[in-house]
Amino acid sequence: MRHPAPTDTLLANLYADAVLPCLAELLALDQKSARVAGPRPWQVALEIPGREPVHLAYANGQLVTAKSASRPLRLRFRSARHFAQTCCGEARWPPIPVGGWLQLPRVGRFSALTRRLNEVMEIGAGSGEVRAQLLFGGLLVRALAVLCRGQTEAAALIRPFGETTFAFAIGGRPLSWFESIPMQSHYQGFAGGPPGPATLTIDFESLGIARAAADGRLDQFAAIGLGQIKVQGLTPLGDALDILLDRIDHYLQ
Amino acid sequence: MMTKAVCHNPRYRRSLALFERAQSVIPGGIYGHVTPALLEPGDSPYYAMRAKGCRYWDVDGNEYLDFLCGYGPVVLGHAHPEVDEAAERVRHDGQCFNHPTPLMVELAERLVALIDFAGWAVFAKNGSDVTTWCTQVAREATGRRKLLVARGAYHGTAPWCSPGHGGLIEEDRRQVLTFDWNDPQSAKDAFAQHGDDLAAVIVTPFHHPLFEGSSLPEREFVETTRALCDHHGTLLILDDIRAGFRLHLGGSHRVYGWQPDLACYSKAMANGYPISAAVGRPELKTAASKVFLTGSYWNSAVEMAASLKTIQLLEDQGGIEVLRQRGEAFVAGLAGAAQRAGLSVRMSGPPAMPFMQFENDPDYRLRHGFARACYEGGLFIHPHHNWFLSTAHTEEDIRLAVDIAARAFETAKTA
Repeated sequence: MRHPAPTDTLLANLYADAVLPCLAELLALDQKSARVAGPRPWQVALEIPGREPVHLAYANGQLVTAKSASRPLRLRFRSARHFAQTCCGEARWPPIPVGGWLQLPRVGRFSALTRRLNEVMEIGAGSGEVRAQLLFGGLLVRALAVLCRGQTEAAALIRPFGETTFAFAIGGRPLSWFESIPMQSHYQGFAGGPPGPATLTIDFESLGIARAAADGRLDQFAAIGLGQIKVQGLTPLGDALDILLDRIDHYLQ
Repeated sequence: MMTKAVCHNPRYRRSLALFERAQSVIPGGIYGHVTPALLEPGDSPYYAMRAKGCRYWDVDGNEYLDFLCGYGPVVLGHAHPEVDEAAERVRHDGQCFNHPTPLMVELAERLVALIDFAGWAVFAKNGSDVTTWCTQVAREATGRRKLLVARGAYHGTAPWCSPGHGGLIEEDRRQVLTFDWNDPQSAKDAFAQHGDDLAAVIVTPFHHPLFEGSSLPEREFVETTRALCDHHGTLLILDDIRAGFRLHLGGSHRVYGWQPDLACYSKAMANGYPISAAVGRPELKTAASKVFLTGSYWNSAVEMAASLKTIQLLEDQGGIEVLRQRGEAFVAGLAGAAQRAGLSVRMSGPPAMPFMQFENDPDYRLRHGFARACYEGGLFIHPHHNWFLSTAHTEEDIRLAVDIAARAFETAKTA
């Protein structure tokens, strides 16, 4: 499947609003990430032109994304493209520190944590189960929200279904969910289970099956026929989401 | 254990065991429109064993009253003795020659005689073969590039029209525009923007998008579309693959007032034997002759013999009227049974090809529960695709089917 090329802003928003929150989830799932984040607190604000800054505050093995933080290290990116390139490890220049100098010695901890996330997200890196939990536990539904907010054509694919909730689950336990209210251009992804019955749930039989799906090793139609993936609810919505999830995978590669 | 089936309904034990074998050597296990993913995975049959009349049996020995009829081709009932005999007689003399046989001429003459606007006919194997070829004929005849299709319509598996997503590139659909079914203004807008480069509009006789209810064409829509085609020199292609020879022996355009320039048939024209046909107005014969059309098996006489016999039997037995009457009884029976169960359903489509949706079923809970219960009770319908009747369905079969559906409604309520 071929997809339209993403704009720089869309890519930057995908990384900022869908991928970076994974750092917090990674800390809860991966012991090594807690070690690389270090023993002392740090705070970073990523200033990306064209959107609000991203604040990340780390303390006691936990990371929170906040609207603001007190005296963080401010890293200014030249453009949305520069931020996206930095996230992909393709930037020619680093972001410029413009404030919060006291935090500067600890910027290496933030970099190390993002490197750890990249390692975990690498297919075949031996951390596939963590990768699957990150993807189905929040990253993908957040990315769906970013995509629908930022790409008219993506929103058009799910608009015909009206107000819907879509959830990922493993073994019947909901991991994350996506809320779509097209009339209000409201698209939001959340970790955890939806407050009520989802319009559509994709339920992986086990973490192993979820991992195979996350790694692109699963024959999805065969898995559905075998009962390894249960698609429950509004089936055609699944078809539309399948296109969008494939697009997210393509963009974030 | 990646390959271990986790569905456990013992009713489909052999189906699941076969599927487990299949998925290791066949992509998807079962692919295309018959994928279990579109039915009720784990709670529906995956493999068939044999069929007769309006019944079939799956590999687990479960018997079903068949209201899908092989997704349409079986119009006289499975394994119809007279059709099979006609085909077998021809097969006995050989199946794949260096030339067509006289039956090709006979079948072309038959179609041209039956279909009012047709001046010629050609043959292939599947619907996609001829829908795609007709778009090429339209391009050849008009010297234009673009095609206009109704949003959600199905015209086959070729890249220009496939409902799938894999393996497609932007260029495949670059010349394909969409408009909204039953919306004359939408058609006018498309013509206003692209009329000068529009080779063809392709429509089905009625709209039957997957998952949704069927929609019969409104007169204004039919007339406006034809008028726009005439005004702009665009051809109108009728994709009658699914409905042809089930609603009218002369083509479904006779039912709904379409006046096509080209039309495609398959499914019901040979009671399950693999053949498709395209017909066109006499003035398009020259353009048609310039568009290359062939396939290794497309001249096979067996299917042509089956088609001639099928059409003859439909004509002799008043098959179209039988289908309509049985369909009306089925639709009325279902609606009544649903009402008695306290459920509200919406029946759509022509009675011979009905479809049913539940009202107030936003997450398809009722739809899926009903389908599962129907399979359990021995009634085969599709939760998302329109259904088909055959002339083999008797009044008693309809009553039996409605009884099974009535129990399924009750079960669905608790799903």
